Amino acid sequence: MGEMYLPGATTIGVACKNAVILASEKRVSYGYMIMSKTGKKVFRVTDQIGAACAGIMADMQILIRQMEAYSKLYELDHSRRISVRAAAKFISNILFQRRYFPYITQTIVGGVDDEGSTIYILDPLGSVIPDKFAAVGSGAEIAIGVLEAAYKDDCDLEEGKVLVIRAMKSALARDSASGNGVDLLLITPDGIKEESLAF
Amino acid sequence: MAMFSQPGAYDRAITIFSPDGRLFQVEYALETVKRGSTVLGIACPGGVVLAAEERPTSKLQDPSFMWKIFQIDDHIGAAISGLSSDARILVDHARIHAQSNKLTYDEPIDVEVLSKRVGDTEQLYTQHGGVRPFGVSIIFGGVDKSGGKVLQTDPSGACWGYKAVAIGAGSDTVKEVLEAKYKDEMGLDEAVVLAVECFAKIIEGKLEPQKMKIVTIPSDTKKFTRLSNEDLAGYIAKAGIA
Repeated sequence: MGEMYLPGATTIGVACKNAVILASEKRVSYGYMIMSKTGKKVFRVTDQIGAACAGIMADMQILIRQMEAYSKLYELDHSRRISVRAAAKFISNILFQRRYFPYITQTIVGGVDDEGSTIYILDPLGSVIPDKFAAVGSGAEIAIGVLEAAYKDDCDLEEGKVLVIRAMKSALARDSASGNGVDLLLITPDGIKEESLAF
Repeated sequence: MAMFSQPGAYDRAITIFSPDGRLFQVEYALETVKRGSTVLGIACPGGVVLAAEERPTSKLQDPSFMWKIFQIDDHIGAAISGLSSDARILVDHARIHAQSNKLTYDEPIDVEVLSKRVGDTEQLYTQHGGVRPFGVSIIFGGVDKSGGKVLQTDPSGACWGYKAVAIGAGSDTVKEVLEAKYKDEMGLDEAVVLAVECFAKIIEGKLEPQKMKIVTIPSDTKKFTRLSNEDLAGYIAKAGIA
């Protein structure tokens, strides 16, 4: 994956015990211009699944809107909730169809289902990679170092949140394309809670 | 034909309703199924059983050739009654739907979703011009995320879920046995014995393994499994019929 696909942002996903945390910072930059300080790059998809993206805002919004629509159709058709894997695979199909003129997005799909809490990382061409924690975007190299060192299997939601904020703070301090605060998506079997932090 | 009110103009094209709101061609297709050979499906906590009565038409017929119970995917089978050539078309559709679900969502198709997809195809043939309905009913049985499932579709495209069901010429008799003897907490072995008991009521002469075909899909393996004649002989002995 060449530099041209690396989108300016820091986006993190962490699977905790019975919960998933997705986080993205709020800066939208067009080269050296900060276009917006309130861009939202974390999205609710269903009551138990969310997605967080790095890349071109238009592409991620269109992609997630399709994911939301098809997840709803799936739930009506199958009379049960869509699994995180199925939702991720579905997005992967859309991305792969556009292989030669791709959506410029890196996506982390995360949620809680029968399999437990899982996250999947999708590159612009549609690969689906399961993981326990992940970071994408231009701040990913900084954030992943913090996650790698401090992530613990089966950490609870609060521990996970502390970890995500620490990783975010490091990335936002040193990556010029990221900043202006963080949006959080806290996904548990009871539903999704959204939080915003300014720092 | 006394059972139908005023056939005539309204039984030619299937897209035309009769004055009392019926589609005669669809009802005639259901008659085809009523004359078909008997097949049944049983769902229980231990898995799913699909069974078909076999009547060899010739001594030289290949006894291993299956044309009443088809495998749709690893975890789903279909038992058919009616025109077997029509059934093969729907079975091909079902197999494609199963694989396409896997490609789209990376998970095996639900039995209910599959039955509805096939029902959708059947419905098209009750509404378009220049075609006739499928002369076949299908029992889909399989094990998916929600456990063992048995569903039935008919030529109208309608689709129902059952704990146990039968279609074909002997279906009324078989359904009576099923209703009397079905238990909610049956194991798979008990369900196969129940299927054998059902056939004991409708098969003429001595009950022998070669007069039936049985397939199981156990809840633990979720794999379509054909029972051999030796297996069937064992179950016939267990049922106490010989």
